[in-house]
Amino acid sequence: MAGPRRPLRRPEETVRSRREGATLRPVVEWDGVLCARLAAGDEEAIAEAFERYGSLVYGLARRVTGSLTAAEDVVQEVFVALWRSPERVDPTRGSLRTFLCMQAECRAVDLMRRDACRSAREHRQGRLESWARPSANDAEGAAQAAMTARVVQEAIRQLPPEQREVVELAYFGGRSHSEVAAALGISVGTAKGRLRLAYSKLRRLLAPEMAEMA
Amino acid sequence: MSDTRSTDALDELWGALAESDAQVPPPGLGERILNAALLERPAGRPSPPVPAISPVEAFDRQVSSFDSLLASLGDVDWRRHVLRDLDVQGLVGHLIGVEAQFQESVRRAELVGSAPAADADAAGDHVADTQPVAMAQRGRPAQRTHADWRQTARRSLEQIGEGEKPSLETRIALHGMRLPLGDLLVIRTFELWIHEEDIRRATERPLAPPDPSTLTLMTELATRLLPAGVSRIGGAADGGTARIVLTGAGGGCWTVRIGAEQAEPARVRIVTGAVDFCRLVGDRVKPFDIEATITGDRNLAGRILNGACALALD
Repeated sequence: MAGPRRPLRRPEETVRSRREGATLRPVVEWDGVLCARLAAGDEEAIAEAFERYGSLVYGLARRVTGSLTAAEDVVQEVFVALWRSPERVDPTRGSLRTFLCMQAECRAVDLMRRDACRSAREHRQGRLESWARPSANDAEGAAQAAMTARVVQEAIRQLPPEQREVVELAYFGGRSHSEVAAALGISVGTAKGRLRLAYSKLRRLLAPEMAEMA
Repeated sequence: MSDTRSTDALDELWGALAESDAQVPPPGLGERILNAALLERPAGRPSPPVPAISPVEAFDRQVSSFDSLLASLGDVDWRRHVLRDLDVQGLVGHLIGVEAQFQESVRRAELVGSAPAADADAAGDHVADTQPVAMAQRGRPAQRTHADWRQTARRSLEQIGEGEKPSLETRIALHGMRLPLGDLLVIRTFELWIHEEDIRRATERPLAPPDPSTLTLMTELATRLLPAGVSRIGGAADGGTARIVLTGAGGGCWTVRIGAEQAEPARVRIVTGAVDFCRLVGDRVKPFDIEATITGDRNLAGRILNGACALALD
């Protein structure tokens, strides 16, 4: 990655004691801690989840439903469901952000088409150029999933440095656009613009490989 | 990217790119969501829910667990050093002494309805009073020590278990404390579990957390007693309100006032594992040994975690 890296911090800093540490030191509070707090019944955690991901879920719901009222209903359903059954999120399998997005899209599509998750998945996969998605339930599926990941990584490596940087922060780092912008010292608009360009290029780069895999 | 996450690589990429659609939600939506959420599950109630059990049941389960461990020990295991100047057999002797003290305290409380406050001071020293029984095990066959402990533990259960007599609200004086029998049984459960793990460490066996129902009783009581622990180390003078979030099955969320006379917004939030927290309360780990995410007043957090260690009996 080009250029010196700035220290990355999420909006809320916390402190964690560690076995190897003699002093308390700041670290980032990850999704895993947030999900564990939700499961423990910490109502402040659901407020923090909404603060962090509410605009993402709302925006996605608005785009799918095209309705302010329906989007609000979707957002409420998604976050109330998160509070009701936080154990459904497995932070070791994926980010809370992606989990919430998938839930939002399922519910939004359900509202619009009454064909819930199947349609949502079709919709999402359509946005990703109808890539064949492997199953992880068997060895063959796992191998195919690993290959998919390698292809995605290779495509990301081919991006121009400034686009690769924002994709890596947003994709691997799980950061929102505003967090990416703050980390890189650029405006939110610039961060969004670079991500759009990166997405467009990724679609072009990945199309042949995905067609071959399919 | 690890293999575990690779399966979801495309979903993650899609989630990251969805940020492009983010829009500020309308004012008041967050509050409406919080209100609706709390109607579904009240604050402080863990998910998934853990079946509730009585303190008698928790003590019974822990007695069974400890009994099973002792039954699995070989001759070499019984000779292993565990705690203070005690080997495993000596530690079990100490516990025989504790059972006898407990039974005597319950008998005294039954006679007068509830132990007088003065009885707590007269209850003696937890370790010193049981040392003769611990020392008396030396040279005895280990199986005899095991059988004696099992017999006296079962006698304790018979004393408290039949028809719930005396009531779990009856105040009992033991180990310098005067507490309702229900709380005391949870402390006894705690004590047996801590010593079970002592023996497991000494004999190189894997540690065994209590079942979630038992752990729930332990975390509830430990967080309730936290202010006393902080006072014990002189840390309550500059007090405040703290939010304690214990994660994993058997955990929960509590607001604890440390030396604060009035309710106030929490000055610190401590998030740590329920089992780790109980080991801290048993003084088997120190604050810097556990993974804890702390937000807010670090000084108060330090006093609370050290105060938790001060709740340990031995």
